[in-house]
Amino acid sequence: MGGLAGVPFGGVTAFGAMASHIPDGGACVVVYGPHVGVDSTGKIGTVERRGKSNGGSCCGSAVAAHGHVLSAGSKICHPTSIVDAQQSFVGNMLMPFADRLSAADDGMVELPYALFDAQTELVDRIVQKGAGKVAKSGSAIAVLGGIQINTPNGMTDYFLPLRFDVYDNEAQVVESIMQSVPRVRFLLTKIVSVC
Amino acid sequence: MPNRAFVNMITSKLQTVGFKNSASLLCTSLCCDEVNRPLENALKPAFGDHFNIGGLAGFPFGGATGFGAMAAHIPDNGTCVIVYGPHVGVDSTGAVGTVERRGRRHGGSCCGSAVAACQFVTTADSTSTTLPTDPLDAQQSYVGSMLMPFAGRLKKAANPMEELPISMFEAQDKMMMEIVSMKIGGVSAKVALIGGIQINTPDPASDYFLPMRFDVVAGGTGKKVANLL
Repeated sequence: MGGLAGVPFGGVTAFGAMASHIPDGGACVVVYGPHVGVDSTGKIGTVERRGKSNGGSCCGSAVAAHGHVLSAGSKICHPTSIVDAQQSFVGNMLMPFADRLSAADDGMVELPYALFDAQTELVDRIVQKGAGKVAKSGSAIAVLGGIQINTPNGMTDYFLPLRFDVYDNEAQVVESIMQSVPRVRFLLTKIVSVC
Repeated sequence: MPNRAFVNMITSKLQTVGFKNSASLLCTSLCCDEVNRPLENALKPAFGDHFNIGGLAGFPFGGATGFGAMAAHIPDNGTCVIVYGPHVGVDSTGAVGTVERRGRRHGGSCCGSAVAACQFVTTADSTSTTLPTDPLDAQQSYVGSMLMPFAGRLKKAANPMEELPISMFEAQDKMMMEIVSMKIGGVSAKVALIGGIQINTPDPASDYFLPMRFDVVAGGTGKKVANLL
């Protein structure tokens, strides 16, 4: 149900459709989050791509939204057309994080964290509204969120888990598999040093 | 045609106009429903990992920005292959608009978003042109808006579940062509546009793809250089 930058744009309808596909008596696992590239020089926000001499931004949508947010002066721009609505929403969702992004030592490190926080807010709203679509029997909704870290070919990508909760079909958390994780910025630095 | 035959057909035809699988970037616009992942899996051996611009019902909701981002990832001197379209289930009894699903006694609608949008457009008293400002459920609202011009055809159809994917394809094809015309000027590669209808069937039968457009357009001008259908 993801779209640009990993935002769950499929929304409540997609969640409800997904819920109606859960095996009888079974459960569902929702994995979500933004992504960020780390290239072979350790640079964050870009990654080498197959057949390209210049990999470009990664995540491109996030980087574009970042540029918009730092220059838009807190102005929310509602979509005026379906044809590019998603990118408008990405920019709007990132707008509350403008100060954090502006104050960050490295905006490309702060950006995936800010996007994760924005996406978590939307995922939680979707779960609140859509959990009732999950059948009572079984009735487990695991929600695992974090940041994907893309690396050059030949290396594995990484996933930094930042939340891992299990809800019932009344949108109540029945288990927090991970306690809330302090910002592990050093992990990105460690990955950069391995590249 | 079955998925595998579809993949063989498009790769052999693309080779006749200079496409090389290893230098092509695959982009898909297919519905979120997990029943549509087998087609992407069937395309992967030929083209590798794909860029996804699809959303509910298969509409290219990643939009102009999604297309532009995808185009920036096309291999240098390479080409681009876009596969897009709605889907419809046909179950083991031949009922159209539903399909058996893993672990479920009742498969439910397929495509659920399309069926909900069909119900909306054939019963709506009025149409709103205001776009949602909250992404919480904006996509389904868009699906309904895009299907609205086809309400008359759907109401008159002997079997709306057969007319629905055809209407959805036309709506999605129109949106895809609009995106391509907006962004092709910034693309240097040839782009293959392969649109049609996915037909989902019960396991273990193969899914099918009914191609309805197979054009190659030149990057920059957007001029159609081949019709391979």
